Amino acid sequence: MNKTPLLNRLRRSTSVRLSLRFALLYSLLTALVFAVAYKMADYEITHWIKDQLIEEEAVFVGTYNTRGLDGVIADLEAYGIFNFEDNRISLLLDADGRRLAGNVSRIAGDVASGYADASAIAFIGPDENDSFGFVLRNIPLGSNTLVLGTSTYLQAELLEGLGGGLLTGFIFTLMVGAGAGIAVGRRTEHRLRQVSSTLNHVANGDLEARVPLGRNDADDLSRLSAEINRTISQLQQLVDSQKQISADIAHDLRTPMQRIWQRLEAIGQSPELPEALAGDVYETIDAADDLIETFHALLRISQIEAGARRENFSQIDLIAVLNRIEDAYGVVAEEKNQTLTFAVGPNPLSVLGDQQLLTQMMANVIENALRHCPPAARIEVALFLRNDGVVFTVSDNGQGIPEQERQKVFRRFYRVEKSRTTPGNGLGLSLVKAIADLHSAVILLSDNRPGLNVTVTFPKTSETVN
Amino acid sequence: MRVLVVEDDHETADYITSSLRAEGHLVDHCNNGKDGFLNALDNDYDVMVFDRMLPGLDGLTLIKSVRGAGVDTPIMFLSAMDGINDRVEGLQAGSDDYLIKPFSYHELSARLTALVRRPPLKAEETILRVADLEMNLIRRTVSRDGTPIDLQPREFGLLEYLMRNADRVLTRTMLLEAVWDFHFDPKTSVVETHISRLRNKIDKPFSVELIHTIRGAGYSLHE
Repeated sequence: MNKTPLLNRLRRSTSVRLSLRFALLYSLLTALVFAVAYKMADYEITHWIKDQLIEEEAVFVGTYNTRGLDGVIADLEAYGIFNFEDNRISLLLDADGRRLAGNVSRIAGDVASGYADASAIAFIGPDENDSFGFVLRNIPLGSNTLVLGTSTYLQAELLEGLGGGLLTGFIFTLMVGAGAGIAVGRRTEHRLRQVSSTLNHVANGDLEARVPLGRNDADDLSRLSAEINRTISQLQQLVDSQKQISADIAHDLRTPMQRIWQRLEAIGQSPELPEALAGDVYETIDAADDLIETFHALLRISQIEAGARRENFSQIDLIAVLNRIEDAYGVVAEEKNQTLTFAVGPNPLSVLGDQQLLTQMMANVIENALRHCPPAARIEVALFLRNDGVVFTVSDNGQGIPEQERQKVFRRFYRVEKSRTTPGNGLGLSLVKAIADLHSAVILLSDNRPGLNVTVTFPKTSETVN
Repeated sequence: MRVLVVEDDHETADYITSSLRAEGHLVDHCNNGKDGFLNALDNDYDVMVFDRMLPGLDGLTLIKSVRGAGVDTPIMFLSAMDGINDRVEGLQAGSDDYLIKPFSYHELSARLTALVRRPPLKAEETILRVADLEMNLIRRTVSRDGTPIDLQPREFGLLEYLMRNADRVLTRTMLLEAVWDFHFDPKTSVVETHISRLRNKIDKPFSVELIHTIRGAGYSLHE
């Protein structure tokens, strides 16, 4: 899992995705707020310019009323002196449209629209203006017309500054947001991975595994982790007490069983035992044997499931194991008039495991076929290497197991209806499953049309083929 | 033979000691680990039987102490615990065999005999003989009363084990462990089938039976 490229892992991670989504959302909101701020600033400045022109109109109208056109012309000249970088324009026209005063000679286009491009303005003398355009105001003075204008240069400069500031702010917010999002997401992802890896260990039987807890244990993930740890601890206590119970049962029931057996054996050997009872006594001993066998099998399954035997694992050559089994069961099949064939792959096929348990597992599967198939049945055993690992199969052409029962047969004491009459305790396949699980092998029952096909796939290791 | 039995369950102890005495063995019994330890040092036993859970000194510590004191008498360990680790612990502590409760006296007796008189594994031994049955280990041939008998490799192995342990009772579990290295109880009659096949070749054509079934115990090869 750790080998997947970081980007892929981040893309798949819910927490990283969520964090990035929030970062994006906040950035969009910030952009919206900034855009509104920009628009409002633009609006306010435009208004401010227009208000200024309205106030100036009042001044010039006043001058015209008290001092006449000459007074207006004199004021316009004075007005020109304070004009910084040609930011203000003025043009006084008579009734025929001829220029009487002002710092520009002509304004092209529709003056009444209240705006003119800089290109429409013809300055008198050198043009020092950098503006794109001017906000204009038409002021009627008798039959004359005074046009006043203010450059939008300052407005543009202000808005440019503001826009730049806002954009920088936005980019900064976006970057910080995305960075923090990824960092928070990765941290959460890391902690979730710790949780999932811990649960994996527990599922594999390592009940000592715990989710590491951070120093700051106030957040919900820490609370969840603590909760998970508490659950694992309870599970561990439960398993421990169960193991203890098993050991207690083993000890406490075996002694009375030993006594029953001893007494029966003593009775069986007694010279005074009437011949008529001898058979019964030996049958009772056999029944006690079955009971003890069931008991052994149950304890063995619990013990295997507890994973205790993993300590004895070594590389086991399955071909050698299967050879011994073939040797033992070949004649048994012959006696039952069944055909038992073995097809073994060309290589030494080894798996990491417990030799005794692997022998028992393979023998159990073959025995199952021998016991549940009618005489003249054909049972094929195969061991070979496939891409996904070492495969052990046992196929027969007997009655098979109905599909809906195939998973149930692994349960303890479960027996398929039609096999209830054959001897057995219903623990054979539970044991097979427990041994397969211990070896991380996958066991699959399928229809052999007709009959049953049992496939056990062992995971491939570097030493599978020597 | 002289046997020391250290077992605290008096019924099981009675069963073992009386059965062994009935077979003519000299048996000493202790019901706790400390007495067991002192007895094990003082006397010259042929074989010892220790229970795993004992008052005073548990079986595992007892074995370690006895071995630590330099006693190399074969020891059979009895236990109600059948975990592989329990067995490994027992064997590593210095026991020579391990029997799980409940056990049959025949199993115990057969294994004790096997422990005391381990089959002689001399390198120069190339021919095994029991009555008129002869096995050549080099040539891998078997003959009875001069008549060659053709055996499959595993039949040969089974017969070799029976011949090396002639006159002794060999239980089904002993045969399964020795011949096929099976440490579980097969549901099908593996041992019975193989013995029956072997009988057809070794005994059937001849007047005297050599392979004997010991009811409730196992098999024995003798005249």
